[in-house]
Amino acid sequence: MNEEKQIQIIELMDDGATLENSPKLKALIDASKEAKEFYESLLVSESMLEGFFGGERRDQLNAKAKAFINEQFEKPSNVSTINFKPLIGFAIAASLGVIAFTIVNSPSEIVEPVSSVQIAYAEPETMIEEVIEEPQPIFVSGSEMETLWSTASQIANDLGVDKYQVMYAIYEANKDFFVNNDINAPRADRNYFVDLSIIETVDVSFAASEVKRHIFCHC
Amino acid sequence: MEALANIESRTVNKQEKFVVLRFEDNKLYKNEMEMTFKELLEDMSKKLMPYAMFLTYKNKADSSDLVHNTIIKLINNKDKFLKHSKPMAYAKKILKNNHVDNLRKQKRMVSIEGNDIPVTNDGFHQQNFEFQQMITCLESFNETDQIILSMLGAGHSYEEIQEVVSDISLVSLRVKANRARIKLAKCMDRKL
Repeated sequence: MNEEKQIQIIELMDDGATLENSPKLKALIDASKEAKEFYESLLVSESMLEGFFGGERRDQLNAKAKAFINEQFEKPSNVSTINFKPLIGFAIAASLGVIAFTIVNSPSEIVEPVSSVQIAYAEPETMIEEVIEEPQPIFVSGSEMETLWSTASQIANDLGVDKYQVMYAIYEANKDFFVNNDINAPRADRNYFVDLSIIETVDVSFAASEVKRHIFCHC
Repeated sequence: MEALANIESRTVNKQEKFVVLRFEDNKLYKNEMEMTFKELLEDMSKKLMPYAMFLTYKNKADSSDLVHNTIIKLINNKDKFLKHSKPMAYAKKILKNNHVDNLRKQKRMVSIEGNDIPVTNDGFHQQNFEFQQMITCLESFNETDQIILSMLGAGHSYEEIQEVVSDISLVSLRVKANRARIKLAKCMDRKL
């Protein structure tokens, strides 16, 4: 049976022809045994194709696919309408700023962490609190002293120093309180400051010579 | 010769209804009728379902999964899909690639048979045994014949089949379809 006749049979079947309603198809089939077998095989294969790919199974799958498409279009979009790009950019810039600030302000000497092996327990040292009392400044009231020399001698005795050292200290610290800077004319209305630092540092001979010079020269 | 003349004359009539798909201002048209993206996807899923059924004939659920994955990929690549000169052929390519990926994944997985676990539901053999001979024959055919026959079985027109097969004239398609049907009938005759 040639292909031409086979195609004729197929075309007729596509047009809805059957052995009952189409004499042309019946004639073709009845023409040979091969044609009849082919027709029967074709009926089976077409029926199989329709049974497997069509019918209820196809409708179920198509309905499922349609439902799936609807679901995809109905569910809210995963893409947010908010544009996060500027926010992310700002966050990155801020983070970099914080890192840079930390690096700039970090101590120049990086203290390396001490390993646990290197750590030793140190006994706390007993601290002895030593109270150092600052010496109170000494003032001598001009109204209360009889003479400068007597006052200086008394202070010198109290402090255990030479009287010339005290005299020198009083004169050097309070020159303005002497009339015309004369060491022999102290003013009675002033309080004289006795500078102990001068007393401690000044040499006795130097202090004595200076005091004597001021006494004799009246300057 | 008369049969061929009939085919040609009918083809001319069919050409008048030739399916037109084009992309213009984000709107799709088919036979001058506007189609939304969603409608196009529905149309596509109907046309590709038979081929998906054949590719995954051992399990009905797989054909749904295959089409669903294809739909997701088409949604994700909407622009490419719509701008493609042959969107249905593009969709078919995605479906086929998906199927190949799935097969590769399955190969990486340990099979139940390999573990000697008894198979309680062998899917195809119970539900589709009657179609075994036809499926065996179809497996020996080329991809175009498989698409043509599966779509014809699902009741699609030649114009719709042409969209999926692509790069084929309606005349050639009809000739191919007739030859495929003859081949299937003969194959099944031998098997039966």
